[in-house]
Amino acid sequence: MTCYYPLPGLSQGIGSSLTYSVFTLNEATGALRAPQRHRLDLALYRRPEGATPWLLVDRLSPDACGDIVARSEDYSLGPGDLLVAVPVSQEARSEPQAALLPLPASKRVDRAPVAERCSLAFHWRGINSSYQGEFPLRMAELSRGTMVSFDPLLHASVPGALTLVCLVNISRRDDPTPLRLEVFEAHSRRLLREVSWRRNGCALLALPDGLEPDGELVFRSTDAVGIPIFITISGADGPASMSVEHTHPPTELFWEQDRIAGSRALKTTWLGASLQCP
Amino acid sequence: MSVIKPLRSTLGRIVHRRSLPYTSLPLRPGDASFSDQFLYRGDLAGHRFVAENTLALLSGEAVPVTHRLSFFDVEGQFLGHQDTPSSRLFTAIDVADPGAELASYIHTSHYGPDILRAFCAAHPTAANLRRLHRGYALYRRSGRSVYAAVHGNVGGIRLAGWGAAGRTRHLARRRGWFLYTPQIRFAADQKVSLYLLNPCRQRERITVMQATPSGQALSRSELPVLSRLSVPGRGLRCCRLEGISGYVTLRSRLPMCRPLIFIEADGHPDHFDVFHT
Repeated sequence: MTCYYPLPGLSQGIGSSLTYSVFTLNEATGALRAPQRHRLDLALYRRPEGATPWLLVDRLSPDACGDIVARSEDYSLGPGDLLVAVPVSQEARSEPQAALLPLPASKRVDRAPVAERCSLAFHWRGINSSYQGEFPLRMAELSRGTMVSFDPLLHASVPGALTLVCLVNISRRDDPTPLRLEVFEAHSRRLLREVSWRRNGCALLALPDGLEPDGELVFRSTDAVGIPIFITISGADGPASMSVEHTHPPTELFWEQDRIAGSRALKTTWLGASLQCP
Repeated sequence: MSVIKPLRSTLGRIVHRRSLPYTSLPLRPGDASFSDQFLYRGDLAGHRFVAENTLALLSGEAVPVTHRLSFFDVEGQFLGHQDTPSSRLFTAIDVADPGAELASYIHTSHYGPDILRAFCAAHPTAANLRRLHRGYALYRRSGRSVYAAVHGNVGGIRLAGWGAAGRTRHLARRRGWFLYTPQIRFAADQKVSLYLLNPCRQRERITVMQATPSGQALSRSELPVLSRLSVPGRGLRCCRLEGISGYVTLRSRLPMCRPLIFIEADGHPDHFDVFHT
């Protein structure tokens, strides 16, 4: 599975970075092989709001250790902005503008499982928290799509803490039509908040921040796919601690052969739910 | 048409089974609830597990369920169960001491016969879906910190029966040799713990090597070995790294030998970075 890598601009004083390794993540190996290294660069692209083409922002090469690091603060990303990191062959030329986001290069050498990941890290008050993430090409190729997610990662919070939900979308072919993220109570179907966002950007939602849910939360988007990342930071008064993780997509709740049918059934329930507006 | 598609899928899985982390054969009828393998650490300030109620998520309604956490010690021996009834979509369970400071566990869900009958009548197309419990494990380093979350990793384990005392069925398989290189560069000033959980029935030997001792491409025989571990089925081992700078790679016969990693940095006693690879 070839993948893109998001570098989001966040709020609440949180910075982000991604570290991309030139090593293959997983490979079936003979007796004598070391992990394979690849001659790849990372091209960073940005889709400015209202602009037509993708703009090449930077192109980074690996250091001697074999990785490439990109930091949000080096590119002045504002809240909701997004840079897309695209692995490209070192021999390939990167055009300064592109109507379509270039296809990512792959480090796969055989059929060994696991998506090609990078380390996505978040920084706040001198501490780091990370997960190994990616945005699959097959999701970025969708011109439309839907997203349903829930709030299990809010249980990482403690009194005084704050959770920033960052919903990331990458679309190779941009569409300026605004997107809408709805947040509602699962049991009562009460609509709590609507967040406007766009393709190739992030929807940001701080919780609780005035939101007083009376039960579990559902996040849904009926016009685009997205990957929700939950970033929980401790209260400003105490020592710094942080948690970062993404939620499972509905397909992951079912065994391999039932993934599509299960995801479809679950999404039908929640995408079709009629909401009570406040 | 309905027969051809699953048949082609099964044949494809058999042909490419050398790369499959789980069995290539179709599941038997009645196999309903499988779990990833999770880590319990008793040396921390707190540990929560967030369990999903799949039938409630499918129906959009409250469905009574019993969540069962089944614990195994580092050698893979059964320790006990912790049962939690709930009707919520997701239930945060404060994990009780299973009788060992370090253990692995699985999560399975059980619905009563009346509940299942009513669900099947109302949702016939969703009734036979096989549930995979991936869950979220939350670790709290100190009483002043938030919980650090990590979702389920690899498993494919189920209880052989609800009344069984820890007998399990395993779908994970050992195959040929694999090299798994977590996409994270460690720094010399970090304290890194790699937790390696074995979801198979058989013991697995895992070699942890440094991938970039000098930034040069080397053959495997030239890579410095940091640790050699023998991990029993259902059991786990920990490999601690200090003063290591660069990447590590793990050689084993597990198609997905993905460690759960805890990183502690000096000067931050209330925080650690927890993630699976």
